[in-house]
Amino acid sequence: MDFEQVMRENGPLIYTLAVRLTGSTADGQDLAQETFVKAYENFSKFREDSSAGTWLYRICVNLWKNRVRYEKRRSFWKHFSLERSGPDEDSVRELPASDPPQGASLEEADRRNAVQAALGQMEPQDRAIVVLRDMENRSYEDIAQFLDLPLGTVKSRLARSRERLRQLLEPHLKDTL
Amino acid sequence: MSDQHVEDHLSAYLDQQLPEEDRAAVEAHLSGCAECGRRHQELIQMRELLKGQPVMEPPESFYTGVLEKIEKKKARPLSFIWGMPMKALATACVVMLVVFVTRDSWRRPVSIQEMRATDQLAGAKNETEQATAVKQGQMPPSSELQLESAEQVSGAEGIMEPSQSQGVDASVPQKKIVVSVGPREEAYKEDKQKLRRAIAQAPASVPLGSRKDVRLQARDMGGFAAQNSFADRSPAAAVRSPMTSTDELEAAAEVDEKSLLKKAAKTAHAADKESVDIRAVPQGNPFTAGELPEWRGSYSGVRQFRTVAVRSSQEWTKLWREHTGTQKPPLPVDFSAFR
Repeated sequence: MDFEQVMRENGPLIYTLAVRLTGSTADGQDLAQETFVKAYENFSKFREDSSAGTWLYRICVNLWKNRVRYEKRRSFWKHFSLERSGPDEDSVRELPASDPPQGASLEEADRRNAVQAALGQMEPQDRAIVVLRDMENRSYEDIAQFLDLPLGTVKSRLARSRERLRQLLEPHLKDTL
Repeated sequence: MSDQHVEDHLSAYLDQQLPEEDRAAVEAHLSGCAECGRRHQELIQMRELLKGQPVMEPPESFYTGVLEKIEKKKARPLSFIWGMPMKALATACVVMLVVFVTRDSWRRPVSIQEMRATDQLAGAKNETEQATAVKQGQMPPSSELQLESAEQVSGAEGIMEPSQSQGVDASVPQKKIVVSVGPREEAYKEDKQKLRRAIAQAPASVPLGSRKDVRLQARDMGGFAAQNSFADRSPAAAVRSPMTSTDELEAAAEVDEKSLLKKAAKTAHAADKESVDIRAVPQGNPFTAGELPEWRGSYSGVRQFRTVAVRSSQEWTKLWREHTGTQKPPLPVDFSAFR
């Protein structure tokens, strides 16, 4: 199996997942590229009898978890750093991509941007749990496995995250009601 | 539940994760509570909105970027040297430096037995280096070494005149003074066996005085070491004397074999006895003394060779502590045997 072929077949799936998990197009593209580079390094270990999409999906989520841990440590030490001049770079998140697909209406593009913006404002763990459940349509069990969380925690955190996202998207939801 | 708002259960209700009874209670509450009903509708709308988000098609630059990154990684196969393994390498260097600096303290013997073993090894190494240097012509045969040995023999036995000693040095060709290399212990044992065979064949009496007598005597007794069995413990030291040369021994044997054998028998008898009747030795008056090789005494600091008579356990304890440097009780000796 050719790696480039696998990459192109699963590119949209991983790219979309990465953008959603990170809440940013630039970060998502970087995460998706890292996913494929990692997959290339371990391509010999990939068994063709399993789904390449599932394999890549897992790599992507694991890399995202590593990034979140790294950012947590980084922000922790930054909090204690004495050199805190200028604006906090982490607080300035990139705005969602505003390049709607061709043929999409302005209203659809507006909603899409609103969803991305709302996801970008959420905590990474909260965002991931909503993305995996409501956008990627993963089961509770899968989410618990992906995020290394107990099933009960997944349920409670999903309820909290949905409520948070509902508040962020409230104006757009009213429009649709 | 029907009286209380059910916003905490709406998420699970939406996913049909509630037990049947809770589900019925939530449904009953939603039918009568506008606030909770509105939230429930918003959650449904939000989920539809999220599910309706299209799958994004990455730009072509995304794929080319992946391939470029892969190619870059391929082109830097040794880049890991400057990553984590470099830290491991630095750590290994520090550990090796510490080991190098502290190796002497690790090698220091902690007991008299270890000290002896260490000294024997050092002596054998020292002798081998000297002999190798002589053979390769890097170092001329040491006349000082020869003279030192001759003086030891003269001082210890009092049977060789200074003129005779000079005669020894002048008569022996310098090139013949070659210290035998190889396993010192084996050479010593071999020489000792020759000596024993000579003793068995020796006639009754041989006058002393010839330089060959002195030479063989010194050789047979292992130099200064024979009288106090020092050579038995340190064969490397015993063969250190240039008079242990096999060539020299053969040359002497050719001149006066009978006298040599007789003298050897006498001295060897004393060596075999390996002890001196301490009742015949005046107290506090060492009858032999000499300077030990420079590599001896590295542990105890006692660098002067001497033979002493120990008559009491107090003297024995003092001597023991002088050589071992410890407060531990010395090896038990029964001093009442000679009283």
